Amino acid sequence: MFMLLAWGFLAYGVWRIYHAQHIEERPVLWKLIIAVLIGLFSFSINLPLFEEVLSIAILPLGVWILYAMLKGKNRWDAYRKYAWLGFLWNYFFLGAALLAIGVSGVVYPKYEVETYLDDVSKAELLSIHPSGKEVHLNVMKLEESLSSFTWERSNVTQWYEVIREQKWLNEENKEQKNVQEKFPYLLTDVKAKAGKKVRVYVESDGKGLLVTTKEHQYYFRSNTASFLKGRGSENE
Amino acid sequence: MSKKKLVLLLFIAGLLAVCAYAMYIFMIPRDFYTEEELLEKIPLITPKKEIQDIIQIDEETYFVPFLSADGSYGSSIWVWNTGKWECVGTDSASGPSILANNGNSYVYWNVHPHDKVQEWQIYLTSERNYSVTDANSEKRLEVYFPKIQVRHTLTLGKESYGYVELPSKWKEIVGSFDLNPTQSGLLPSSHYYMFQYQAYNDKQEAVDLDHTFRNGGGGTYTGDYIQHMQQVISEELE
Repeated sequence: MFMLLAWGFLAYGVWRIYHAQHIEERPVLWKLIIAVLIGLFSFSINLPLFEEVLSIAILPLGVWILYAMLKGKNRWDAYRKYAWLGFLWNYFFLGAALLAIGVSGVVYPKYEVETYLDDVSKAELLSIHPSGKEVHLNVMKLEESLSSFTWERSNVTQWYEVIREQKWLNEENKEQKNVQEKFPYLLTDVKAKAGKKVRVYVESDGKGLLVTTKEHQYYFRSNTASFLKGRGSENE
Repeated sequence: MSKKKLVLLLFIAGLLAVCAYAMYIFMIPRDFYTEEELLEKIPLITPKKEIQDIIQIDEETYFVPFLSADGSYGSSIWVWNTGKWECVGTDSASGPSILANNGNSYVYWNVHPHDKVQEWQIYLTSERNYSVTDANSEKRLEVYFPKIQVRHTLTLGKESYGYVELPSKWKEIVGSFDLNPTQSGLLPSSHYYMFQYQAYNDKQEAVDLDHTFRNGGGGTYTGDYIQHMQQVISEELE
């Protein structure tokens, strides 16, 4: 959407320059467009910012190329502004990208569970570990309890070590006890905002959600949620 | 209508016909090979003895269990690939294997009858893991991957060979069975999972496939259609 805006600005820029020129000086439209496109060509650096890679144009290579090409033909003056506009366009895109990041931060807040579990009406619960009990998902209750989930800092090292200790203890005592996985359920068919792909694991007590996206993982906890019928585990 | 236009029209019609024919050739699977043809085409060096069966799994997939001269029970899988039936996997002896083609996924097998396999327990697993990156910066990223372990039981029929579609639950866990996934970042792709099996006889005892692997085993595979299953290591199960 913001890219469209950037395109709009560009078209407006071309129009302004075009009309400011004398009739006899005006280049043919298709040549003009090529001039702008060549002007876009630049030496730029890619900076990773705000979890995205932004490219910042530095050297106007395209402008130089056009200058070299048109100098001899004395047409440089007619095209100069278009070439620079093309170079400027790089910054339009940069601005649009920045704006998009800012707006998506407002519309899709990262640390809100609703960003990832936007539509759970078709959600199903799968047990993915022997320690996951035969439980049923109450979709209505899940929808109701979503707002009670808040983001919490995850402590993956501790989660992992706790389970490893369980295993050691079992081995030492020669017990054939089941190990309790912290997230023994998978919530499928969850629709996230902005068409993001998400994978949602449910904690054994039914009060924690571990949301994985392509780039990140978020942990949400609730004290009151109870959307698993036949409670997942007695650990709580 | 001028002559020029007529010629152009004919040319376009001809082009369309050729295109349609090419589409037909490439898209619509031709009749599958006969036993004689298969005996010749199965790409194994060991002498083949007998084709046990020719099973159409779906429109574009065939499963051909066969016997080698040394008494091994082998399998070969054929898929329709741009205009011809292509063998994507042949082995002289193996445990059950996973086959994925066109979004469908199956487990197939051909084992020696002396192993007396009555039942397969197949496992879909993935190890518990975690990672912490950029620990001391603002971009600190903690990720935890739970252990996945689900079991499914299959009962064998009278024959030494057979195939079954993978349980729908597995498909939901694995997501896409695209064995050649694009960049998925932190989200698990099908390579993230292990497929394992354990064979049981009619007394519900776990058995090894000693007779099946009597003469060793091996095969040739092309493409990303087939994924081997390993025998389960019981210590790794939780």
